Amino acid sequence: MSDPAEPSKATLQFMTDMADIGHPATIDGDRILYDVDAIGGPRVGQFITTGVSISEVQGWPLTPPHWIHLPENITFPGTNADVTDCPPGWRRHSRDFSFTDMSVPPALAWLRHVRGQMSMIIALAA
Amino acid sequence: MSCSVVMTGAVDEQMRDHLIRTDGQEDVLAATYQISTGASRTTAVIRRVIAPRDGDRLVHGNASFTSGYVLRAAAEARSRGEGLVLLHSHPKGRGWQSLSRPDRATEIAYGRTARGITDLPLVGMTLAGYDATWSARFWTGDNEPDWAESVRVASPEFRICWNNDLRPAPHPTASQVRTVSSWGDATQASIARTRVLVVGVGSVGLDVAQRLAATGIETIGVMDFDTVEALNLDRMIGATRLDAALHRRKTDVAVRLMESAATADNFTAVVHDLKITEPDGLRSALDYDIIFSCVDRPWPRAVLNQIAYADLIPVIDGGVAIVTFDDGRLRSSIWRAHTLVPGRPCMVCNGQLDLAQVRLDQNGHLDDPVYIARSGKESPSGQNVAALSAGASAALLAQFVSLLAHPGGLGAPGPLRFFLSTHHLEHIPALSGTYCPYEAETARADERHNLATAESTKAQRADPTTTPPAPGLEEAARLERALAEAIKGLS
Repeated sequence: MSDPAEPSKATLQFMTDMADIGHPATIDGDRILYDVDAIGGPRVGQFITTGVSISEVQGWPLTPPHWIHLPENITFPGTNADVTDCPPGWRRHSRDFSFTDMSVPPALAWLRHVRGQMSMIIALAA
Repeated sequence: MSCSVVMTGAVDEQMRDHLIRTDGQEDVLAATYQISTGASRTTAVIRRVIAPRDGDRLVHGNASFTSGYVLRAAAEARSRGEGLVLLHSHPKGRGWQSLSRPDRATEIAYGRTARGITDLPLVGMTLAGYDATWSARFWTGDNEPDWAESVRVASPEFRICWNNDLRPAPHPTASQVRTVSSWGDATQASIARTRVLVVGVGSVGLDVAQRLAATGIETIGVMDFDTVEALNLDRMIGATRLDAALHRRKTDVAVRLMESAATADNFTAVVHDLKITEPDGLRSALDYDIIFSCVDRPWPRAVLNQIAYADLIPVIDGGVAIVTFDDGRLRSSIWRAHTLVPGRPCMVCNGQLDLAQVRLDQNGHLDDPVYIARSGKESPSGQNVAALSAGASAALLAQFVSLLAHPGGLGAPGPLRFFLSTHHLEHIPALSGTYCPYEAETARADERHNLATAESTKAQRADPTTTPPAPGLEEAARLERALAEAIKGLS
């Protein structure tokens, strides 16, 4: 048994920034997971566990992640998805967005994007 | 390895305000620096000023530090992983200053202290009060210091103080008479010594590189890893059908054209067949004083955006976009030009870089037709017209002149945008964002986040010179070489 690698400074920065906006994150294998409250869509009012690949936050905060990790029973009407960095029962989804507003903290801009996407999900039977 | 010092305009102003006294006496000051490591130049990037407290220095005609002030400043530098700068003024001095015997003794002694505490060389600096010229040296040992070749002030009114011993002013040549008479000997002497890098030598970059060479600049680097193809010939002015047929490197074409246009007696073209997104490309870029960004991909533009603030190397960016109607007719063309430097908004804040696209570029998705098809995104159109790209290169070069020559006492303007359809020039009222992570990296130098993570392209790149030319082209290439030699013989 070996110890997991130490999180990089960028990984820790992403987790700290998410915690600072009220969404504490945890490392889970090759991913960082956190909960967001759905503001619309079929899961409105519920917390949904989602996340990003650790490899995708190594440029944080200069570059945001792209792929959104979700359980398999949550998907989008039309989506580019694969299972990179995902354990069984999870998929990651490519969701287009624009990251240009420097008047808000980067973590808040990312969270707003993810919350917006949660209102567009299709919830399948678990 | 040469060395240099750079600071923001705000730090320059803060230090000058302290060191130039109304009573005409000398004064002293401490600051900290971070190292910016280039391929052949080390730069001390001044991070923060450590103001003296009461009793920290003695002002008595010749000012001196107390050991308490030096120790406090060195400890603060160490706590931040930075080096120590000790500065003093020569109120009546003008130009680059040498060291007096007492000043040398002081810097040797405090150099030992600084190295012992910070593990970094002491940087000694002098401000000439008459003309605000900075001079600098690095104390790596107890003997002779390593003198900096320049001290740069990165602001919209970019200023370079030159060490004439290490980088002498070139004599104007007979072919520069019109240029020198436009802005004077002093400006020409500074512009000619400025090391300029052009990243991307396609339609805009190739034009910019040639005009810089004609202006008399002695050292111009070109960075591109691409080769000339037939579809480039309607925009790469000066590239030939033979270049395309032989798939010559764009950098080789740029060197040939720059050497042909150069008016400096000692012109040096430096070739970097690299990507700015790979570590070697970044290190090479850190050797330059000003960079032109003539690339359109998000990732390289993000790296250049970072360099402008983290390493205080002004980046002049821009380009041209063509807009068409659905039936293919021309709707408009837009060129943009902006200088990225502390005091002006970065490429994200001025709306010219979408960070979400940077991630896609890093992931390789922008080159993946399967990903693009499934995502519903449109592939880049790549439309461009030589008659219009000249407008973009002119706009970038005008930013360069404003940055260095300060016409009318004004430096580089804010971001500009020109609409062809209405012939309207807009000054974009963009401001720096409060949470901009790029401008937050100002003066972080080697402590910057690592964006240049691309794998080296050296192993992947085929050497076009090793590919045998098609039949008939060999003779054309031989004649071209003979012609070039004959022209050289004339000059």
